Amino acid sequence: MRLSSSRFALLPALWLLGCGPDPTPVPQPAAQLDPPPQGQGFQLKTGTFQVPVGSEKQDCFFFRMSELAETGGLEPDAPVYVHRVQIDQTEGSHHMNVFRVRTIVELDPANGLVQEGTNGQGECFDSPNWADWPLVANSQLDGNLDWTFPEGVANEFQPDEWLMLQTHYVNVTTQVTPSGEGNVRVNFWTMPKEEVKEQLGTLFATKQSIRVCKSNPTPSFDGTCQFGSSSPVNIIGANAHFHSRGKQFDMFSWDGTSIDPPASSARFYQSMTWDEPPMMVSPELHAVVPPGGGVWYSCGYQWQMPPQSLGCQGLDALDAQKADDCCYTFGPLVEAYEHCNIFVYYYPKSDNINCF
Amino acid sequence: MLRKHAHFKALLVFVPTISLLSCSAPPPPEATKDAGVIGGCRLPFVGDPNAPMEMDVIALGANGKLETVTDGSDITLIFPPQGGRVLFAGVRARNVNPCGVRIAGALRDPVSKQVRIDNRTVNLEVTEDGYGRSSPGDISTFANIAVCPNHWSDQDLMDAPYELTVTLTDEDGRKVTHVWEVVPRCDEPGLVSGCRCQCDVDYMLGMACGGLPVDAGAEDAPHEPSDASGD
Repeated sequence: MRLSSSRFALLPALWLLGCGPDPTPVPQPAAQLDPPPQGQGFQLKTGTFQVPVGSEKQDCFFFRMSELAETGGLEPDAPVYVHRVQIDQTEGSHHMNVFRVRTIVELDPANGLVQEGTNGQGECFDSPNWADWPLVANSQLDGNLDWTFPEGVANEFQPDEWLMLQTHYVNVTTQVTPSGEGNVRVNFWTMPKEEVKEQLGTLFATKQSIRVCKSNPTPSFDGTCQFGSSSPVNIIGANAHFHSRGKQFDMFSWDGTSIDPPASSARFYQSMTWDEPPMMVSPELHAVVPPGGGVWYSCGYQWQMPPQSLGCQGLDALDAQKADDCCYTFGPLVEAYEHCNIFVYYYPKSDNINCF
Repeated sequence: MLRKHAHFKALLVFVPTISLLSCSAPPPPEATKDAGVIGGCRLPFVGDPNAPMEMDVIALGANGKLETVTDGSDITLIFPPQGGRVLFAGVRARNVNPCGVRIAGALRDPVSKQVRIDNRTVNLEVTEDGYGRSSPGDISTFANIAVCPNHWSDQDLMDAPYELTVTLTDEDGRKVTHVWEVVPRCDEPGLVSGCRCQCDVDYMLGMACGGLPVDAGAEDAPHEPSDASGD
């Protein structure tokens, strides 16, 4: 996702949207990840989809757990225990999230196993649709992630669950998809139930009432989210998400009761790069949170002039408050909106937790 | 900003349109340009710079009106764009530079001592009566203390006493804090049952609230979806 020099070379062409021939896509192999051997796991894959120049594609792919298990040579009517995650994404991915489907609002697998969204339109762009869907896995990195949880730690899935894999590919000014195509594969490797010692839990927190405005150009926002555990919690995975006005994103281990910001020594994650935020995983990441504790997170921004094709007039048109202050507000489109989201993986599981 | 989903979606339609502007003369990209000296707050000092900073705690009420919060006040649990329930705790202050102040809000469960916080940098709205305040039309100028879904407190979030702490800090580091006992209430018209479900001490993520979407309980009036989007 980082804007390489070769990508910058493409940028001027992006301003010709709809005005001339499309830039020649750069051929790129599709995601190459092979599924786990039969009986050792299963794969979620999107197939290849188009990401035309000038577009942001956010698509939701639904999978029934029992069918995934059966395809992977596992018992379709029994729970499965995932202890290793592999992710392979072609270049251009802004994010990829996998959720467990819970309350159905407007995004329903009954309406189709693939539900597309383009440039902010479509139910796959509408976050209240998955407000209570627990996080399973995520990545904001191009290329590969291969993460094996600590010994005996696994994420349990029931056969009657649905999973939703959400992809977001960007092919505009701030990020590009050189091939004009997206493709994602995710492998979940399983372990025998008898070897499971601890369950993996996830925590997702988002701060949506953010505004980064011309008149308040360097705002920061702090939030907290508890694990709700009466025993110490081990954080073994973390990443954060904001857009190009984002300058610094920090996460701290927090005791759950202090209202003063934690000391820097409690920081377990920091991102200074919006387009390629670090994905920290065990064994490099192992932060211990005391009983009753949680995560304190902070996102800081520097307001910037929007691209000329959007301009302050464009931002003002998108601002529901009509403040005429050239504000970036919370939303999915990279060029026009901002984010302040954290993804945390931990054990032992107390619950799946969403703070919003 | 609250519950204007249809309007928001209509605005999103505008995005691809505006990205197509300036076809005949493509400008260079500016995505990485730093703001430099562009922008900034130009609001005047409010009150007497030599006097101590004064602050009242205010909150958004059930009908979007500002309520002054003091010891023993009720405070409304509000359905925000992203879902869940939030306390919007703000300030009304004078003898303050309204630019770039820090509002820190925290709600503490007196039983478990657990706390939820929201801190943010805002410009205060200057009012004709000589105060700077959180703007009733802009929820981002309040501490957005997200308290429900409730998986952090040892008691229901509604109808029980909690401790609200609000601190205002200006750019020079001057600070004033109030700590009040408050009683959060699920009293937003049409949104009571979903609030009471998600704010219950026994709520778990994904739990069906009465078999209905959490914000469309049987006794709730219909309402528009929120205007939030995101990924």
